[in-house]
Amino acid sequence: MKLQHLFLYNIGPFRGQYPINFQSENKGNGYAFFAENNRGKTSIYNAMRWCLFGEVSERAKTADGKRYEGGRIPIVGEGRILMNSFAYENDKNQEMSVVLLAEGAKGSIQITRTAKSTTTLARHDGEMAIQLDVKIGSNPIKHGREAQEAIESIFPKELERFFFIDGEALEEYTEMMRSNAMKGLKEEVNAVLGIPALIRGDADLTRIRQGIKSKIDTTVKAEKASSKARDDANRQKRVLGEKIKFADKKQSELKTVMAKLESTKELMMAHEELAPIVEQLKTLEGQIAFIKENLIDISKDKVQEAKVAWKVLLWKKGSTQYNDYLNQQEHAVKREWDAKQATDSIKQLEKDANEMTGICVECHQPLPDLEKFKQKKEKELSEQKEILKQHHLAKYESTDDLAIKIGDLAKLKPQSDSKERILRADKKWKKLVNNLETLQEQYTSLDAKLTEDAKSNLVELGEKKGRQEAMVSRREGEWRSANTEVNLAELELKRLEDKSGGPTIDKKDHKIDNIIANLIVTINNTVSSYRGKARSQVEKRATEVFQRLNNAPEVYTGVRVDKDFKTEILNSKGRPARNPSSGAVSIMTISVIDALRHVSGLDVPVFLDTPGRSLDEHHKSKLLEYFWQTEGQQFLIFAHSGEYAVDETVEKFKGKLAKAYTISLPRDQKTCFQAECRSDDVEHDAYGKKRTCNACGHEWDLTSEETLILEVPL
Amino acid sequence: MDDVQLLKEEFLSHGKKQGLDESFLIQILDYLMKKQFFPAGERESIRNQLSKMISEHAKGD
Repeated sequence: MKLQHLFLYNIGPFRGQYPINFQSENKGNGYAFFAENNRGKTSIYNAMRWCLFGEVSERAKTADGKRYEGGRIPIVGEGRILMNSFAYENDKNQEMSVVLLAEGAKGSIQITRTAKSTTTLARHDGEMAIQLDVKIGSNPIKHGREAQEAIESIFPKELERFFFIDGEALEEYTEMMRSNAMKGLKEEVNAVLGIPALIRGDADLTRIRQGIKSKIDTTVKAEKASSKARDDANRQKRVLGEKIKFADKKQSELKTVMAKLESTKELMMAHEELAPIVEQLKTLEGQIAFIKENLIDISKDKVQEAKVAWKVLLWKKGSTQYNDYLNQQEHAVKREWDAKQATDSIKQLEKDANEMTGICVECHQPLPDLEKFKQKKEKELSEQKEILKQHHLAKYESTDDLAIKIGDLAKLKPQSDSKERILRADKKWKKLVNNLETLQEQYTSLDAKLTEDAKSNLVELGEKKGRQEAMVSRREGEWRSANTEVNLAELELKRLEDKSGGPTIDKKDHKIDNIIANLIVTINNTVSSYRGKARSQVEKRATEVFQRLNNAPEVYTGVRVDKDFKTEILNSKGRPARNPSSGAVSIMTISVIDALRHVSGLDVPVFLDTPGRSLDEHHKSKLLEYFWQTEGQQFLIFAHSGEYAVDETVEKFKGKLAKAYTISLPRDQKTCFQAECRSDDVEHDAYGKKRTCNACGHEWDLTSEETLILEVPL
Repeated sequence: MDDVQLLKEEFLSHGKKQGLDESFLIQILDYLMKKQFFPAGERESIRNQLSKMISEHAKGD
């Protein structure tokens, strides 16, 4: 995979659009970006990381063998940001984008990542809309997650460390490679060797297998249940057979008794003419029996009612005396009342006579004729006394005696309806007796019409028929019950048969389970053997690179990579070197990284930021000599002027350099930077803060902050 | 590149010992390599695809 073009827009120091063309007529895989500090080398490096992965992290830090990841550099916001500061602060609509075009064995790929503000001034990345479009070959454009997957199938994010190499982080790499605390790098070593494919594949297959096993277990259980149901169904079939047999037997018995009944009925038909008489006699017998039963009840009622008949008879005479006593009692009461009245009048009249004053007691007026009045009163008194005298002379029974007599007679008094009830009960009884006699006469009359034999036959047949009908009824009940049993047994059989139709064990599932088990074993065995072989390959390759870059081959002879990928420099005796030089250690680190990258088979350009930071002149030179070749993977360095001198480097590696650029500001340019001019006849105007090329007349502003990416002629 | 070949060779060698078919092993390994950087939490579709591949293989075997 080779870079073809890069387009930067409003990223880092690059305000506006900056196209960079990586296509070259020159032979060589080397690319160089030279710049002083803070001119934008790392911004190009980061622009490519952002384009590929959508994020750029600060450099990680390592302390005591532990690696601490750097924070994410935001696109916008306070402090260090990815977007061009001028564009962020001044543009109405903040926008930043990077377009990367590359060509490889899988065809061309065009990646466009754009960040646009969703507000007037985005204060943080949450207010930025990110758009990712990826076009591979002639395939349709992919977006979002699908696009990211497409990118990472070529540029794996997990292996970023092996192609985006930060020279300033070499010490960190070294520390991790030499330390016992290998956790961070061990994972990456695994990743670079392709072991995640196996480890994650193992986990995936194990999980799939669990699902299959669970399905098989469920099927086995269901199969067991259905097998048991099949056995039960077979048993039930036998039970059903027995029940059907029993029901058939009952049906046969029913038919037999029904046939007998029919035969009896036929015999009875022979006496058909007598049958009505017999029927009538039977009816009469029933009626007579019924009336007799009723007659017993009615007789009891009659007897009950007749218990007070003596009272009714006695009262016939006693009632006159009773009424007479009542009249006498009435008169006696009246007489006693009259006597009392007379006594009271006498007392009053005597009192009036004694107390007479000549004044009327009613109107309180003087009486006009007192004497006459006195006579009148005396007459009244004498009349009252006569009345009282007559009363005393008369012989009458006292009210008390009369009350006793009345009470005694009342005990004999029947209830008012006693007589009617006695008569009614008697009438009812007589009527029933009459009915009974009538029916008995009818019975006697009809009975006389039958001979004794006929009567005997008919009675016998009737009784037989009755018994047979009862038997038919019983047999019918038994047959119905047997049929119900058959139906229930059939239902149970159906239920068991339904249950027995469960799933059968799918041989395919077993086959799949077996294949997965074999794949898991394959993976585990591969991981065990491959790690050892890969380690050996890495060690071999790292040693080769180290030997080529190392400036003291007589002291340091190679690199050892142990089973945990912990690395050491070997001395001339093949033992771990004590206190190797820092340059040798840096070279070892680069060698191991390169070996791992090589072993991983990563077909991507290598980006090396500040490559010579911890290397001496010899190693720096050797580094480029090794990595820059006439062909092969692109190798891009982002070097500052202190690391590599532009002219010297370009001159030295001309045959291996495809393209070289300088990144600068206008004020850095002391010669004309017009591509076709390059004259050093330049006039400096300190007052006007500008420079002018005397050859072509090009003029540039020394206060401008517009970054220049200038191609170095090779 | 050689060492990807090495991984493949190792995988094929061990797989064949388990009685698995070479083209099937290559198919599985290529797929796993292609999807190796998908994190554990996002591998449902990968497992589905693997299941499909294995089922197809079991069917045709």
